[in-house]
Amino acid sequence: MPIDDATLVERARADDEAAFTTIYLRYARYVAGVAYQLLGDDGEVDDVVQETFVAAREGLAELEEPAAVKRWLVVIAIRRVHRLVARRKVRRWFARKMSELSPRASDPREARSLEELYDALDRIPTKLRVPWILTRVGAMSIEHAADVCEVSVATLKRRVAAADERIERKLSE
Amino acid sequence: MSIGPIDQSAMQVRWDAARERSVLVSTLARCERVARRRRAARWIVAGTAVLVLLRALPRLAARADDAGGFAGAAEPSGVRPTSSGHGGNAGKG
Repeated sequence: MPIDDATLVERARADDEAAFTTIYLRYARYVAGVAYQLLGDDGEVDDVVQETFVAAREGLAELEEPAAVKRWLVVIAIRRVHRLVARRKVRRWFARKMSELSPRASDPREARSLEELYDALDRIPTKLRVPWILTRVGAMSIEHAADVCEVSVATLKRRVAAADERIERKLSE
Repeated sequence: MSIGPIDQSAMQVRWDAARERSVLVSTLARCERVARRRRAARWIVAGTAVLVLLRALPRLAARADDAGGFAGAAEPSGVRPTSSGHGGNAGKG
């Protein structure tokens, strides 16, 4: 019979490395999946997973509901993604400025791909991007997404609708 | 152009056992580094506190001596107690 999350968290708090490893093996794939969808590529998924579990190990003592460790891990991962996306936006801004100086390499009428979608997502605020991806790409329920984004259901719905509108606009530019 | 259906299969991360293991190993190593750094920081803080205390104790003891000899009595005018004991009431009690 598998050990429940609350027991594992209690053991991990007492520096039981095997318990921490079990938590990792139970949820790393899920965290990686969420990170992958939010980032849109594989490049920094390992970093997000690693940083999430390092932060989790450091913060285990402060976890109020040990049974809700899965939700807590996703919240940490989303915060990490927020930071990464902010850094990416700066990099992308520089890249765009640089590309303006060189001739276009691709046909602007080419078919829309996931890359284009993520390009549009990169140009909207992260607080809109994350709920949109969680619900539209990750097929997460509105309630669950609101919970892990630490906002109310009404706020999340508003953000998803705003993201819809902005993505549509960016894709048609 | 509008947002069409999203290819869910393209949005699945390739998370195999080897990758899982490799990230776990690096995570545990990083946790260990963080813990070691934290322990070192605690020792530095504790050591600094002990040093500060060791430096401050003789002065505090001297002050306690000064005050203890004449508890409740006013200092004689024009004579100020010093940490070295000269000029104060140290040794008179």
